[in-house]
Amino acid sequence: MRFRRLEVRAYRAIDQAELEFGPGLNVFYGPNDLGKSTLAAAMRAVLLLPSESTAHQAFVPWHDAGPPRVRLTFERDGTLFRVTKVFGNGSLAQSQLESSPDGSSYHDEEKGRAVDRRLRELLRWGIEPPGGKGGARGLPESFLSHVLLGAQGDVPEILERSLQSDRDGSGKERLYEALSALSQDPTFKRVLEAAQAKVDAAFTPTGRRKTGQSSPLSPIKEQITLLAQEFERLEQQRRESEEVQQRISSLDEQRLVLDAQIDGLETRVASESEQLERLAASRRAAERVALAEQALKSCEVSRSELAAREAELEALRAAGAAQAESIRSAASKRAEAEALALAAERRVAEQTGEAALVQQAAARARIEARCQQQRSVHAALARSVELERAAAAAEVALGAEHAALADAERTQAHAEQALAAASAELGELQRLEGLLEWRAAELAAQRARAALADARGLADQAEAWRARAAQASATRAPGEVSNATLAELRQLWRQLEVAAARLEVGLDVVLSVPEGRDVRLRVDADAERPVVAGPQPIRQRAKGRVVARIEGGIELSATAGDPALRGELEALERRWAVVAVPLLQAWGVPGVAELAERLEAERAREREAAECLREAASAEARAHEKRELAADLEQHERRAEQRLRALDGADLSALEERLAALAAAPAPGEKPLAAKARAATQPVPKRPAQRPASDGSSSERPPSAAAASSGLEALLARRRGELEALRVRQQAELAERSAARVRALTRASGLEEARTSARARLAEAWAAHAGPATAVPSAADLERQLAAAARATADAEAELEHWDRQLAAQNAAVQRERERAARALSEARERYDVAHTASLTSRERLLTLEAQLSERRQRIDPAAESAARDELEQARAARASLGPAVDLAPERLAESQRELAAARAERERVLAELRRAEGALGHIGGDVVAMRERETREALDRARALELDQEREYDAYRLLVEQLREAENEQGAHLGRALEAPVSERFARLTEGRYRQVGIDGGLGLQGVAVAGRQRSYSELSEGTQEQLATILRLCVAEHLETALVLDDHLAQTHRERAEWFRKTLREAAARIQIVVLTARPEDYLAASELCNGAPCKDIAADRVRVIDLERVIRRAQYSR
Amino acid sequence: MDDVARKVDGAVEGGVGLKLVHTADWHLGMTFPAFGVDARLRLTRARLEVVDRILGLAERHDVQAVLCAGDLFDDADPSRLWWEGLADKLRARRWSGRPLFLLPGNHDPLTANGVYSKGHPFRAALPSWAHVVDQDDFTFELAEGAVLHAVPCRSRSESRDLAMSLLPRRQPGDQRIRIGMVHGQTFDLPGCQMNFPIGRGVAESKGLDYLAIGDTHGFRDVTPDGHAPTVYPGAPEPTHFGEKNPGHAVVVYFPKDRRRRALVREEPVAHYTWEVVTVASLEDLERLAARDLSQHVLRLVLDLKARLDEFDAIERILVELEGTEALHGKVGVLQLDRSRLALETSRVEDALEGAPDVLRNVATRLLAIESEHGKDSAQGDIARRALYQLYRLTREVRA
Repeated sequence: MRFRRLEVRAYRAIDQAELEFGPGLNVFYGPNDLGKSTLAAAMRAVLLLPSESTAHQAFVPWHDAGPPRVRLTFERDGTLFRVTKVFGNGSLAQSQLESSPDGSSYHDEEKGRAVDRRLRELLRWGIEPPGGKGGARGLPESFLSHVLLGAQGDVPEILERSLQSDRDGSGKERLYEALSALSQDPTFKRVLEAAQAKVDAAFTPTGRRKTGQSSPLSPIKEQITLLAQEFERLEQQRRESEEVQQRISSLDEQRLVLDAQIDGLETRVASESEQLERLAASRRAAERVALAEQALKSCEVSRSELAAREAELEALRAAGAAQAESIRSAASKRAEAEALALAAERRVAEQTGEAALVQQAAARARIEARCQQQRSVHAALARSVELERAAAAAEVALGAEHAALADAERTQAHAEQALAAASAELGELQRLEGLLEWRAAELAAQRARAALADARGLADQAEAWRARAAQASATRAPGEVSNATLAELRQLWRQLEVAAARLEVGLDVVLSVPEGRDVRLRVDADAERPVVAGPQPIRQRAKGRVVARIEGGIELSATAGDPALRGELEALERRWAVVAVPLLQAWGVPGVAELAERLEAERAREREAAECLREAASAEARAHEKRELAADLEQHERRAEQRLRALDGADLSALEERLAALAAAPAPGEKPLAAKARAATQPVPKRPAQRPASDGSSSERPPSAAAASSGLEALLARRRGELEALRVRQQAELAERSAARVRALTRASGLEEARTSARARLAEAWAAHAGPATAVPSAADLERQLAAAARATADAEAELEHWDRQLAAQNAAVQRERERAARALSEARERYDVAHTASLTSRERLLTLEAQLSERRQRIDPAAESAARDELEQARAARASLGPAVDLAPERLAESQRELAAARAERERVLAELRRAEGALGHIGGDVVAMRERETREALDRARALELDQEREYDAYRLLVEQLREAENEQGAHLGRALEAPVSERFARLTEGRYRQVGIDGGLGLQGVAVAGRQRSYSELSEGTQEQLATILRLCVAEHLETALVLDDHLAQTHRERAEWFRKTLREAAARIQIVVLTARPEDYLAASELCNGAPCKDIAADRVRVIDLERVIRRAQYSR
Repeated sequence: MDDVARKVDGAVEGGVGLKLVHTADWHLGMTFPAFGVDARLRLTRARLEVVDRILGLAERHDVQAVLCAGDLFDDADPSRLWWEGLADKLRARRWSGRPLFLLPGNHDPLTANGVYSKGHPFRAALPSWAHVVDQDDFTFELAEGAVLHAVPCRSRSESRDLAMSLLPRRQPGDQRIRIGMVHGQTFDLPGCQMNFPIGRGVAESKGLDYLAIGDTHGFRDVTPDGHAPTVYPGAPEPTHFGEKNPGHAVVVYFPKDRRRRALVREEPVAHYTWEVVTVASLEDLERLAARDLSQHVLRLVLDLKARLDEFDAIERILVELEGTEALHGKVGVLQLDRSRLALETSRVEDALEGAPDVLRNVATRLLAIESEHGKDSAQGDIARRALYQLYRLTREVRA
C-alpha cells in the first residue's frame, strides 16, 4: 500500500491542508505546534475510526469551521482507493469509499458503515470488523496500526505490543503471508505454494470468490446459466403444453356431453312436434263444428232481424210526418227575420245615403276652409317675419364685413412696407458677404505663402536629423545578446562564484624547496608569479587553490574543498568557457557586468539613432503637408482678385463700417461672436510682414482672426437667412391678406344682395297678404299679427276635429243595428236548413230500410238452413273421430328447438376451441418439448453437481491453506525468527555491534536484547535506543509487508550520528517502500540544499525523496481572543 | 447381397416377394447438453455416420425400398450441417430402383418453412430416388404388387390417429402388398392420446400387410400376434441411457404368399453402446478399465470408499478412462458420477509418514474438522477433500 494524497479540513487546529505523497521517502517538516502530528492523527482517523464514532469529539476543530473532514487516497494492488470521512453526530457523519483503476475517475465502492468494514478488509491490520460485540470504543488499535501508523511517542506501545493482543486475525495472517517464505520447511513451502495457487485462482485477496472470467468456475457457471435459461423456457413450454392437453381433454369431455345433450333434445323436439300437429287437427275440427253452428244460428238471427227492421220502418214513417211540421215552423220564422233585416238596411241607407253625405261634406268643408284661411294668414305672417329677420341680419353682417375690409387694407400696407425694408437689407448683406469672401480669399493666399516657407524649413530639419541618425548607426555592435542570454550568463557566473566560494575553505601551503630553486606560484585565480626559495620554507596562503612549479620539473597542485564540489565547479567552468567566454571576447569585455554595461550603451545608441530617424520622418511628413497647403496659392490669389472685382463700385469703407456696426450690435445671444467679428473687421494685410519661424510653427493669420471672420460670415448668413425668411413670410402674408380682402369684398357684395332680396321678397309677401297698396308694417307689428294668426288657426282646427268625431259616432250606431238584424236572419235560415236536412235524412233511411227489408225477405231461404244443419252434423262427427289430444303449448316446442340450436352452437364452439387447442399443442410440442426438457434438466443437474464439486474442491484448497498457516503458526514462532534476523542485523549495525541479537516471539513481541552474552529486557535500554529499536522493527515489518510506514517524530531522543545512520537507512528503504516522516528537525533527514527554501514542495528524484515544508501547505485555524 | 442376406432370403417359406429396410428416429442435430463439448461433438457426429451403415444394410440385403419413419432430424428446421450432411450421404449412393422415403415426424414435422418444405434447399439436394412424404394421401407403387401409403406429421403434437384417419382401406379385390407408414405413439404407450396416437389393430382394419412406425427409440413389434406387423425399429444410435434395445434398423421380408405374416429382422447398426456402470471397489474399476470401451458411452458411478493411496489409483484409472488433452481416453464418451466416492480417512497418518510434522499436524486438524462437522456434512466433505489434496500435494512434492 502507498499513500497518494491527503486532504484535511477543519481538523483540530488545522483549517486546511492538502499533500501529495511521493512514492519513496516523504519528509514533511515544520516547527512544533504546526500540526504535524495532527496530520498523522487525521490519517489514522480516516482509515480506522467510524465517522459517527463519539471519539471524533477529540478532534472537532477549535474554531467554528464545520465538521472535521479528511480524505485520503491510497493505492493497493494496483487499484486506487479514496476514502472520505466527515466526522460528526447522526446524519452529519458521512463515509465514502471509492475506487479507480487509474485515478482518472472513481466509482463508489461502499458508503456509510460498510466503508469501515471494507477498509479493514483492505488494510488487514488485525482490526475486527465494525459493529461486533465487545469491540473497542474509540480509535481501534492493533499491532500493525501502531507499527505502521503509530502516534508520536508510541515507542512503549510498539515494543510491548504483539499480535497476540489483536482482536482480529487478519494482521497475523497478513504477516504470516509476508514472512512465511523466510523460514519454512521446503516441503511445507511447496505444498503451501501449490495450494495457495489454487486458492488464488479461485478467490480474491480478500477471500471472496472470484467472479467473471477470472474465475475458474466461470465456464461451468456460464453453462449453468445457459442451461437454466433453456430449462426455464422448456419448462414453460411443457407447462403450456400440459395446460393445452388438459384443456383438450376437458373440451373433448364437453364435446361428448354436448353430443348426448343434442341427441336428447332432438328426440324431444320430434315428439313435441307430433303432439302439436295432432292438437292442431283437433282444433281445426272444433272450428268446423263452430262454423256450422254459426251458420245455423245466422239463419235464425236473420229472421229476427227482419222483424225488427219492419218495426223500425214504421217508426221512421211516423217521424217523417213530425219533421214536415217542424220545417213549416222554421220557414215562418225565417221570413220574420228577413223582414227585420230589411228594415235595418234601410236605416243604414238613410244614415249613409248620398244626400246625407253631401250635407255632411258641405258642413265640414266650411269649417275646413275657415281653418285653411287661418293657416294661410299665419304662414304669410311667418314668412314676412322671417324675411324681415333675414334682411336685418344681412345688414349687420355687411357692416361687420366693411369694418374688417378696412382693417385688412391697413395691414397690407404695413406688410408691403416691411417687405421693401427687408429686400433693401438683403442687398446690403449681399455686398457685405462679397467683402467677407474677398477677405477670406486673401487670407487663404496668405496662409499658402506661409506654408510654403514652413515646408522649406522642415525639409532642412529632416536633413539634420538624418545626418544625426547616420552618425549614431555608424558604430556597429559585435553581435546580438538577448536578455535571456545575459540572465543565463549572470546566473552561471553566480553559480561559479558560489561553487568557487564553497571550495574556498582556505589553504595554508608550506613548501620546503632547496634554496635557490626557482618556484612559480599561482594562487587562486591570480596570475603566476615567481618566487625564489630561501632558507625558510615558502609559506603560501590561498582561498582554495595553489599551484607551484618548482625548478626541476616538479609541480605541486593543492586544491581545497570537497572533490564533488570541485567537480561541480569544473563543470560550471567548462560551461562558462563554452557559453560565456566566446561572447565576452567578441564584445571585448572582461566580465558579465561590463558586457551588460556595453549592451546598455549599445542599446541607448540604437535608441538615439531610431529617435533621430523618427524625428526626420516626422519633419518630412510635416513639410509634405505644408507643401500641399501651398499648392493652392495661385488659386487663392485669383479668387481674391475675382471677389475684389465683384465689389467694384461699392464703397468699401462704408461696407467696412456697416460690417463693424453689424458686429457691434449683434443679436441677443451672439456676444462671443461680436468680439470675433470686431477682430475680423481689422484690415487684411496685403502680404506677410515677415517669414514664418524656422521651427515650423504656423505663420498663418492668428486663429482668432480666422475664427472671427468665419463667425462674421456665419452671422451674416444667419441674418441673411432671417431676412429671407422674413421676406418670404411677409410676401406670403401679403398674398394671404390680398386674398382675404378679395374674399371680404365678395362676402360684402353677397350680403348686400341678400339684404336687398330679403326686403323685396318681404314687400312682395306683404302685398300678397295685405294688398298692393298696403305698407309693410314694422317688425314688431309683424310679430304681433303672427301671434294672433296662430291662435285663430288653432281654434279653426279644434272645431273641425269636433265635427269629425260627431259624424263617426252616428255612423257606428247605425252599423251596429244592421249587424244585429243580419245575425237574427242567419240563425233563422240555419234552423230551417237543419230541419230540412233532417227530413231528407229520414226519408233516405226510410228508403234504405225498405230496400233492406225487401232484400232480407228474399234472402231467408229454408234450403240453406237445412244445409247448415247437415254440415253441423258432419263436423261434429269428424271431431269425435280424432279422439282426445294432449294440450301442448307451441312455445314449449319453440323452447325445445332453441335449446337444441344452443346446444349445437355450443358444440361448434367447443369443436372450434378444440381445433385451436390442438393447433397450439402441435406448435408447442407435446412430447417433443417434454423430452427436451428432460434432457436439459439432466444436463442442468449434472452441471450443478459439477459446479458444487468444483466449488468444494476450491473450498478444500482454501481450508487446506488456512490450516497450513495455522498449523505452521502453532508449530513454531518462525514469524519472530523471520523478523529477528533483519531487525538484529540493523540494530547491530546501528549500535556498531554492541547489541547483536534481538529476540522476537511468534506474535512479534519483543523478548529482549542479547547484551554481553545474556538476554536483557528492552526496558533496560536508554530511551533513545528504545525508540531506535522500535523504528528498526517498524521499518522491517513495513518492508516485509511492502506497505507504507508513517513515522511521526520518531527519533526525538536520538543522537546526530545515529540519526545520520537512519537517514541513510530510510533512503535505502525508500527504494522499496513508501516512508512518511513528520519531523521538526529536517536536518536529520535532509541536506541543507534539499530543503524547500521557500517552495512548498521539492522532489529529489534521484533519491525518490519528496520534501514538503508544512508551513506552506498547512493553513492553521485563526482564533479570535 | 451378402451371404447372410442370401441365407435369410432362403429361409423365407415360399420365397420373398418384397424386401425393405425400415428405420426411424435418427434425430440428426441432437445436442446432448448433459455432456461436455468433445463428447457432444462425437455423439452428434455418430448420428450422421450411422446413416451410412443403414444405407449399407439396404445394399447388403438388396432391398427394394428404405422406409424412414420420422424424427430423422431433431428439429423441423435443423442447421445446414445436418441436412446437407444427410443429402451428401444419400447422393453418394447412386441408387436406382430402390426408393427411399423420408417421413416427417413430430420432432421434424412438415411445416411451411421446415426442412421438408418444397422450397427448402434440402429438397433440391436430395437424389431423385429419395422421396419426402409431403402429402396426406401419399401413395407409391414400390414394385409390382406392392404399394406404400404414408401420412406425414404436420405438427409436434396431435390427437388424431393419422393411420386410422388418412390411410386408405384395402379395396375389395386388391391383392397387392399394402404397407403403411406413420409416425406416432401406439395405444399401449402412456400419453399417446396427444402424440399422434396409433390405434390398436389399425393395420389390420386398413387391410395393411405392414405398418412402419417411428417414435420410440427401442426396437419393438407392437402387434406380434397379428397378421400385419406394426413395428418400431428404434433409434439407430441410442440417445439416452436406459433406452431398451436401441441401435437397430429392421429388414422386412414379405413372403410371396400374401397370407403369410411379414418377417421382421432387427439388424444392429449403432456405433455406440450406452451403458451405466456402478463400481463398488477399486478392483471393479480395474476390471472395467480392462474392457474395450472405445465404442461405449459410459456413465460411471463410483460408489465406494477408498483409502488415500487407493484414491490415487482411482484418479489414475479415471484419467486413463477419460483421457487428457494429449491422450485419448479408453472410453468413447465418459460421464462420471463421483457423488458417492468417499475417502477412507482412518489411516491418514500412515499415508503421510515421513512428511514434515507441520503437514501431519494439518492432516490431524482436517480430520478434526471432518469429525466436528460430521462426515456427511458439506464441511466434512470439504475437509476430506482438503485432506486428499494435502496428501496428493505432499506426495507430488516429495516425489
